Amino acid sequence: MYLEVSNLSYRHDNRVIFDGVCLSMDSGEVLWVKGGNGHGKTTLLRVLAGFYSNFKGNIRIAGNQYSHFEYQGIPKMVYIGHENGVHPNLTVIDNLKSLVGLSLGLGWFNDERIIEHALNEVGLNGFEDRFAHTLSAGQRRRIGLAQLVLSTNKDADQPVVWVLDEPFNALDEKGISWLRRMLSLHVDCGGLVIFTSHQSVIEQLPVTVLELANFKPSTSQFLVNEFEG
Amino acid sequence: MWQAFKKWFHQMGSPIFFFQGMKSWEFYLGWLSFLMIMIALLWGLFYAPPDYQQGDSFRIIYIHVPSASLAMTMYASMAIASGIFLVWRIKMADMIAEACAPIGASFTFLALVSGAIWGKPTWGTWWVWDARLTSMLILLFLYLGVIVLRETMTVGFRSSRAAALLAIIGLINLPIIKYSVDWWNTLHQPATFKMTEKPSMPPEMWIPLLISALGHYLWAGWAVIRLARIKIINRESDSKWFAEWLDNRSSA
Amino acid sequence: MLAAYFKGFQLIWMREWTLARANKVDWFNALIFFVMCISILPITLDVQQLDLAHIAPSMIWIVTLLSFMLSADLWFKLDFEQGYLHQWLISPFPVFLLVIAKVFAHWFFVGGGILLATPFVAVTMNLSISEVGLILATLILGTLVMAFVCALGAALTLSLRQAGVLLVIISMPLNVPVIIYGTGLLNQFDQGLSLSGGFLILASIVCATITFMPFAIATALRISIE
Repeated sequence: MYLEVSNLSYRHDNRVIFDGVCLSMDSGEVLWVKGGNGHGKTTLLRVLAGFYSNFKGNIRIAGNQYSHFEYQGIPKMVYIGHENGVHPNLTVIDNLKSLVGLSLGLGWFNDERIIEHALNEVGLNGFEDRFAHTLSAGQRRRIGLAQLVLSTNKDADQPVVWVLDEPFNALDEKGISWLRRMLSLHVDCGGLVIFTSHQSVIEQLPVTVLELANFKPSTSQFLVNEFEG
Repeated sequence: MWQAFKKWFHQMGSPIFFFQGMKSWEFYLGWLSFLMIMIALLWGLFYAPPDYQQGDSFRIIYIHVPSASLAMTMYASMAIASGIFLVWRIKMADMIAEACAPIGASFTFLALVSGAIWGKPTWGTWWVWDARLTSMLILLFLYLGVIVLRETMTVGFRSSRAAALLAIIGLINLPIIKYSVDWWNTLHQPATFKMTEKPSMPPEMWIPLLISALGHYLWAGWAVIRLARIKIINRESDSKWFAEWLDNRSSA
Repeated sequence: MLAAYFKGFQLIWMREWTLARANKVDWFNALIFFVMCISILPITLDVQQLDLAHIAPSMIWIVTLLSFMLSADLWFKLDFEQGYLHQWLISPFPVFLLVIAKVFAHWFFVGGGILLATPFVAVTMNLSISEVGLILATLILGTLVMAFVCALGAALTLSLRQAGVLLVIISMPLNVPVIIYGTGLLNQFDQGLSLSGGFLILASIVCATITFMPFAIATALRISIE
C-alpha cells in the first residue's frame, strides 16, 4: 500500500474537524472525499497534502511515517486548492512556470515548449502572454490545472499523488471531460488521485469513496467502499 | 523528590489542575507579598537613613529597582512559557505567557515612571536619554508589540502562536538591544550618573530593598496566577469541568 | 543539493523580478514616499540656524525605515490571497530558502530605489561626498537587516486585512540595534573617530540576521497560513 492512513484526527481551535479517518491507497487508485459543506473535506485534503503538522494519527507513505516537516521531497504531491495560486499581475506563462517550478521542484526553467504544450492541453493556447487578471475565473482555474499535464505519473515506484480540492469547479463541459481524461491517464500510469467534488463526475474509473459526516462525539467517520463505473 | 516535582510540573499543564490547585497558592502568595511590600515600604520610607548625596529622594528605589528587575524577569518568563507552548503545544503555557505580558508591561511602565520621578529632584530632568531608561523604553515597546499582536488576531491558536514567536524573537534580540543602547550611550555622554545603589549601602538601606524585591516578586507571582486563572475561565467557560466546578461552588 | 537550493532561489527571485518589472508601482511607491518625507523634514526646521548636514544622516535612516515598514505589508499579501504562499509549505524546496529569495528581491527593489535616491537627497542637505559614500555603505547593510525584520512583521500579520500600524509596532523595536549602529557610525565619522569597529558590528548584525531570520520568518508563515 503506498498511502496508509490510520486513525487520523485533526482539531483546530478546540473544535474537532474530523476524527478516526482510516484509508489506504495504492498506485493507480482514486479516492473521492465526499461530505456536506463544512464537514472537513478541505482540511482532510490539506492534512494529507502536508500542510499541517498537528494532526493525530498515522500517515505512512511508502512505508515511511511522515509529518509535514519531513515532507520536503519525499512523496511527489501536487496540491491544487480552492485558490489557484495564480498571480493576477503575471502572464499566463509566468504563472504556470512559477507553479510548476515550485510544486515539481523544477525551478525557473526556460523551456517554453513544455509550458506551451501544457497550455495547449487545457485550451489556453492563445493566451500565453495575457496577464492573468484579464482572464475569467474558469480560465485561471485552467492555469492551475495545467500543472497536472506536466505531472502525470512516470515512475511506477514513486507515484505522483494528485490532491485536488474541487477541481471541477468553474469548468465548462469541455473542461470537465478534459479533466476526467487527465485523471484516467494519470491513474493508468500508476499515479494516485485524491479529490473532492460535489457532483458525481467520475465514471469509468474505479473510485473509492470516503464520506465525512458531521462530527459528533459518539460517531466517527467511516470508510465506504463503493465502486462506480 | 525529582519525580514528585516532575509529576507536579506535568499536572500544571492541565488547566483543570492549575485552576483548582493554584487557588490556595493565590491566597497565600497574595497576603504574603502584600505584607512584605508593606513592611519594606514602611521601613524604607520612614526608618532607613537618608542618603548622604541624594537626601530623601533615593527612597523611590524601593519601588523602582524591583520594578525594573521584574520587568526583565517577566519578559524572560513570558518568552520561556511561549517557547514551551510552541514546542510542546501545552495550552497552559500559552495562558501563562498571556498573563505575563500585561503584568510585565505594567512593571516596565512603573519602572520608567518611578525612574522619571527619581530623576527630577536628583538630576533636574524628568527624562534623560541614557542607556538604562532607553533600554527599558524599548522593552516596553517589545511588550506592547506582543500584547497588540495577540489582541488583533482573533483566530484561536494562530494569535497564541504568533505572539509566542514574537516573544521569543524579542528575547533573543534583548541582549543585542541592550548592548547597542549601551554603546550608543557611551558615544553621547560619559557615564556621569550611576543609578545603581552604591556598593557600600548600609544594611538599614538594603535589607528593606531586599524585602521589597522579594515582596514584588511574590506579588508578581500572585498576579500571574490570578490572571492565568481568569484566562482559564475565559477560555474554558464552555467545558464540562467548569460547569461542574460552578455547580459545586454554588452549592457549597 | 546545492543545485536544488539554487533552483529554488532562482525561481522566487525570477518571479519577483518579473513581477517588479511589470508592476513598477509596487516598489516605486516606497521610493516616492522616501523622497517626499525627506523633503518635508527640512521644511519643518529652521535651516538657517541648524546645520542640516548634522541631522541629515539620521533623517535619511528614519525615513528609510518608515519606507520599508510601510511597504512591507504587501510583500506576502497577494501571494497569500491567491494561494501561492500555501504551495511554499508543501514544495520540495525548504521554506527558508524561498523566504531568503523573496526578501532579497524586495530589498533589491525597495532598498535599491532608496539607495539610488540617497545621493540626490544628500546633496540637498549639504553633505560632503565622503559622507554620502558612508551613508550609502551603511544603508546597504542596514536596509538588508530592515528588509528581513519587516518581512518578519509582514509574515506575522499576514492573516489580518489591515496590518499597517501593527507591522510598525512589531518591527520597530527589532530594528533598533541596526539603527543605532548605523547612525552611530555616521555620528562617529562626524567626530572623526575610527569606523572599522562600527562597520564590523554592523556586518555581524547583517550576518546574524541573514542566518537566523529566514527560519523565524518561515515559522511565522507557517503559523499564519495554517
